[in-house]
Amino acid sequence: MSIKQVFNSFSNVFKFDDSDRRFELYETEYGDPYEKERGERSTQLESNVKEDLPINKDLHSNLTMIRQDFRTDINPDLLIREFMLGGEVPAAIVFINGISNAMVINDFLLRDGMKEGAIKNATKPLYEYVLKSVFTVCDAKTENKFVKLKRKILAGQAIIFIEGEERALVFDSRLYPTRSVDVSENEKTVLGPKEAFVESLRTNVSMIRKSIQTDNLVCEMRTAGKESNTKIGILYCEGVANNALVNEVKRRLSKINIKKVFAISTLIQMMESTPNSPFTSALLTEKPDRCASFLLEGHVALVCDGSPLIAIVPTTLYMMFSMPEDFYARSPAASFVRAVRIIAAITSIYLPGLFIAIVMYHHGFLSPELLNTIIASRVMVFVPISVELVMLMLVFQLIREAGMRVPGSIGQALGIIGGLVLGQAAVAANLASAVVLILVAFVGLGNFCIPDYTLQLTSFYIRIGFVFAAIMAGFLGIVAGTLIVTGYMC
Amino acid sequence: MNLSEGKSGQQAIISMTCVAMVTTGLFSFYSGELYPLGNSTYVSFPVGAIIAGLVFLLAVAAIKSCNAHNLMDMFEFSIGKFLARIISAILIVYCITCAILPLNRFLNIMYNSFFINSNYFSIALFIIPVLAYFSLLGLEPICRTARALVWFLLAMHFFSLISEVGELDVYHIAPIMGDGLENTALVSLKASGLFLPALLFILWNPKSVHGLKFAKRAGYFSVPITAIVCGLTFLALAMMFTYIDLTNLYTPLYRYSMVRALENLILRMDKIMSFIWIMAVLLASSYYMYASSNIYAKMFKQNDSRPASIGLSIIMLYIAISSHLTLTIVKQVLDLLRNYSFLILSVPIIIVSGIAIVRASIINRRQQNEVGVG
Repeated sequence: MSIKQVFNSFSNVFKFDDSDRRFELYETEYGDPYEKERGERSTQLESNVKEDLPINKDLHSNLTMIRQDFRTDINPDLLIREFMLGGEVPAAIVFINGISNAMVINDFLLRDGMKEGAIKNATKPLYEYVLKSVFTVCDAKTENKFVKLKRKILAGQAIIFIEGEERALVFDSRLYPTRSVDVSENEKTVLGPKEAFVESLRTNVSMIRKSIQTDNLVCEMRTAGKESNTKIGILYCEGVANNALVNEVKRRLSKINIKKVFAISTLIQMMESTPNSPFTSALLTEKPDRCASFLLEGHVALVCDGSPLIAIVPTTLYMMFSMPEDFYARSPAASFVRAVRIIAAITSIYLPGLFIAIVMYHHGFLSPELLNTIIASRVMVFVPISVELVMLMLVFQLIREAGMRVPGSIGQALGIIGGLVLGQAAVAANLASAVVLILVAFVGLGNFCIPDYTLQLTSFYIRIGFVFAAIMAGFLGIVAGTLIVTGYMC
Repeated sequence: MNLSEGKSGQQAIISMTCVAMVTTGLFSFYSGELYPLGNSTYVSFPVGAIIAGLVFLLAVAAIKSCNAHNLMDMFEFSIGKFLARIISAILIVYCITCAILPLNRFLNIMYNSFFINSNYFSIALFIIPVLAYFSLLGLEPICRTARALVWFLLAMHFFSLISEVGELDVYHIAPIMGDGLENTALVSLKASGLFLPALLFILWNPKSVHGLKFAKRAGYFSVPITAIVCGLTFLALAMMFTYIDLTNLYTPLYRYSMVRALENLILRMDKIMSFIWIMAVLLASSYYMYASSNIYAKMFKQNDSRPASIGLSIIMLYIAISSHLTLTIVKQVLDLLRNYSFLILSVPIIIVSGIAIVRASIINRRQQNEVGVG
């Protein structure tokens, strides 16, 4: 190892992050990210592959290589169909059965390719001629690197190798099984559009493009996950979104180094500077109109193939309290509802802690009547009030979790059984007092007013934290907790 | 936090300085010292804020005249490195004092009103870690938190003042300016010395508030706001209690909010308000604590103020507890620092700023002459 190599390896260890200018180029939706200065692809897969060999001019050696790599002896998914191009030149089409569209392959590749005299007037190079004059598939290109061809096969594209040609033809024949566009389940609206994103990146991007019909809307494609090679779309409105923000998103995306990314929520956690924080830094939405609205305000959207949610970055707490309905309702009504939502959330977070603080330390806050009611309801309850409250909050969370995991109608029934029957039984058995039960139910209602699911979970942690702070130091604990949480969020 | 931290916005830093100055004004002085002869606090505290503002403007002018980047540079230009460090040390001491005085008051309130069976140390253990946490976070989160909470704090404070309006009587103010001009001026000067550290820290770190221009603007806004809030609060107190009553009250504001108990579900407004005020006090103390650790770190060319913050939090825990215990020396030192704040802090700043301005003008004139001769 030369001194220069040693120096380079040291400088690689201690060098700062890559400069943003590397990410300046815009790519098309179909293109892969291309880094400006290095002149090499940035995907994780390729960086780990030792060999980046060009394809051979000999058709059979190419097919042998493909067969070996894909283990066709034990892996029947890969189909290799050899044929005579124009009845003259040997060729073979390679694709994965099930994720490639057989109709495209049969009607527009094999039929056109096998037509007699198709290459009668062919000019050199042959691959260029057949690409332009023989095959009638709209998305077609050529490629000469094995690694890239393998990736395209895995993505569902069809590859045609031609005897004596140094480049292979790549045709878009992808046909993933996806569900059709459906009504939004989690962000329901009365006045606005009802359609929601699906698991297909292309469908999701096209739904956004339908809403924003401007050439300013850019969709840059990246991949994440060494093994999953999940396609990620970075959407933003050029000229509206801050360039520094867009570059920061790209930089963080390029730093992800994991095997698999199957959902946008995983991706966001990998991109965050504090992944262990209870607060999320991205808003997840399943509504195309809402996403389009945020894009037009200068936010950046991240679309992940296989995820029916789109992440909007950056986000604020206020954004998380907005609902799609707010954009369509009349301004005073929407503002009022949003204010109610925020008040309900704050109440649900603080109420248990305040209750414990008042009951345990600051009785003077309450009128004698109210204090007597609380005392009377707890006469027969044998557990301390703090334990009772924490226990009921956990039970509520248990019912909620159980209700979410079981199918729709049973989930509702479970909620009713859990809420009414269990609560009633607990009071009758002197395991819980009616006042605390009402309080926990009220807190639960307030929690459901928080539109964002991750924020609902976060509010649970904070609520429990405030309860413990109140148990330890009453209002002083809550004040300290408030300052710490606010400081952390700021 | 690392010294090359983020920048605070204009509203954030104004909110922070206002919270810091107002809490210092309202909770640093004992009634026994303010009202022995009469009550003129509603004049002396606003005047004190204005005096602090004038000293601040003088320091800004001095920094500008010598083309310094911050207060430390100006000190060094004016009186040299050694003396500059001494004045910086005085500023640190005053930041700690401004943090400790209201904290002490609230430790007492907490102990006597809410946690009688507890002890000072246990209560302080809940307070000091919050300060330490904030000072580790850095200036930006502290200021943003202040910005997030300032409207709530102000609204609650004014609500407590307004809720007792029915009990106010104008004749309680009599004798008007009963303290006499001399005493009024004295209290103004004392108050001005305690208002000053919050303002001076902005000048110590103008980079963190987007430059000297914005630091100056923060001072322009926070001084009148402090003067108004303090003035109105002390006026309300003066209209509620006679000066004789006030002299005997440990925390008049707490007593003020007790006067009319709301005879509904919530009986005791005073208890709610005491926790609102302690929120403001904690925020202000965090700011002062961060300020002192930051000044210390920059004074000794350290790249990170976090070790200083940890050290200071332990010192503050000690002072907060010891001033209530047998160590009366700590209390005496705190009283001394509070009562002679103008002499110990403001006067040196005025002198140093004056020297800087004169020196800068002499150098400028000399340079102009040299250019002329050349």
